Amino acid sequence: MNRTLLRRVIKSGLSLARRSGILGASSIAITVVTLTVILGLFFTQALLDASIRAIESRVDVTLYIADSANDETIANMQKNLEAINEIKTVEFVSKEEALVRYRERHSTDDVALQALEEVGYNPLRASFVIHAKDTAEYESIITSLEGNSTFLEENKSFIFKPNFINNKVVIDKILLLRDGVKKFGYTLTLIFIIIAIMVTSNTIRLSIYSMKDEIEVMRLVGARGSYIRGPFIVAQIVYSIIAAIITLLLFLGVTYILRDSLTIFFGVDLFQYYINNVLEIASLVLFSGIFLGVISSFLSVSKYLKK
Amino acid sequence: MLYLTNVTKVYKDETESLNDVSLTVSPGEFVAIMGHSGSGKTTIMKLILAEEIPTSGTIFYESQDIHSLSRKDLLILRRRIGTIFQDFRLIKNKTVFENVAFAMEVGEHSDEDILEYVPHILELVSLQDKMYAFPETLSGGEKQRLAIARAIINQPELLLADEPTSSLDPESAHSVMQVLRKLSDLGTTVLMTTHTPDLAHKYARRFIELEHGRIVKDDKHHTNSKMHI
Repeated sequence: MNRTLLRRVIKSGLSLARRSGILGASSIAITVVTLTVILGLFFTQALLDASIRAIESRVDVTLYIADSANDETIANMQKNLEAINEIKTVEFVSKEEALVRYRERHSTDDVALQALEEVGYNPLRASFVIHAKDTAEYESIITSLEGNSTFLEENKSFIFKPNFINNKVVIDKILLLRDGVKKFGYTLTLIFIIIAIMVTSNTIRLSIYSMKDEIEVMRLVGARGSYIRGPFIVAQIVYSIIAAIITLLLFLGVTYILRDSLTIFFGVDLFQYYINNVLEIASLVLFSGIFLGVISSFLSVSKYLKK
Repeated sequence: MLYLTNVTKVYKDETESLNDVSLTVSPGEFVAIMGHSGSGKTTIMKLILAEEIPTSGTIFYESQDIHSLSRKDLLILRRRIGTIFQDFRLIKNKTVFENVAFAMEVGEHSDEDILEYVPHILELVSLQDKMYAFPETLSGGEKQRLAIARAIINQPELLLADEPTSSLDPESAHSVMQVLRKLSDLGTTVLMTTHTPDLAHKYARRFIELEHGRIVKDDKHHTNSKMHI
């Protein structure tokens, strides 16, 4: 397409967008609905991910350390643990810190506190609280620890059996939930997007159908396919941009209004999430809209250009 | 210039629209094809524009078999043919100026040429005052004059007019026929269909009568002097 033709196509497309009235408005409206579905699913996925992450962050593996271990031994052990690839963080909790945390955790449980007083000394052990990079990796961390003969050999007198087995059931449930949510989320997203695309595509096709006589005339006076198709595509791009802006503003308002409720319920500030990822979100909405509009108008006009 | 040889057209519903029609149109002729509804007049126009494909027979425009042309060559050929439709077929969302300019843009004329020639041609069909109006605000006669302006802007060698006066009042019909005749006098080959013999006999130079898809009369000898409009 040469420069003159491109300029004329763009000019003609902008005029078409400006003059299409109710047809243009309906294209914008239906594109807003589709983009709302897409962005809504995007946010839902983000909320689910955040919820799962919040649950996952509470899962850990604890290695209890014997009181006989000195500072140097503890430092060496921590260094060895941090060297394991799958491990994200290793937090050392001293006996004293463990006691403080116990008291805090059981501050309303008089029996537990009284029991501690009756013992007369700090019965809690120091520990390493290990967080994996991924929940699925806890098992392999344990395998890795057990398989690391040097680590076991050097520290066998200081380490008690990790509590992984106790947590395994919970971790397996979390993994199952995470996979289920992901699969369900992706399937639902895919279904909704396909429905939205079909509805939008058909609305655009209907609006172009109303101009099929004009398309036929253009063809009969000898206009090239690109020259007929071009303005419809340009007009649809304009509608998609308008629809994208409306959708983004709509979500900005909704996430702001629901900010407190969502934060309490899901533990995620969706408004802040929106602001932090505004470029990514705007690109997603804009390109989805434009892609949808371009494909739909291209296919719809092509139908009338076959002769 | 235009050669139809043993052309037959049977539509999908098995309606026979044309039956073994042969016809030669020479450059500069003003041919009126007459006949009742369903006699095959519009089918001839559609076949010449390659909107329809003949069931048998051939149609040549100069040395080109119209129905053997590639899509690209067909578009180029259509740019050399001006077409006026019974129902005007104007582009609703373009102004009067833009409707005519569109035909020039399709013909890949420069912006300068478009700005120069479009007002000129609109003046020729007395639409210079409606340049920025949209087709829906025009009367039937004005719409058809706009369709004529669009059809002739690229100075076509052949002008096809499919019942150009059927939607018009008598005064507008005469006005449109005068424009066609003027174009013919200037050398454009005009092939029009009509079911109004009076108008045809007043302005055309050759009269073909179709009945049930066959040519039953081809009066090539009727002449009328050059009209001064």
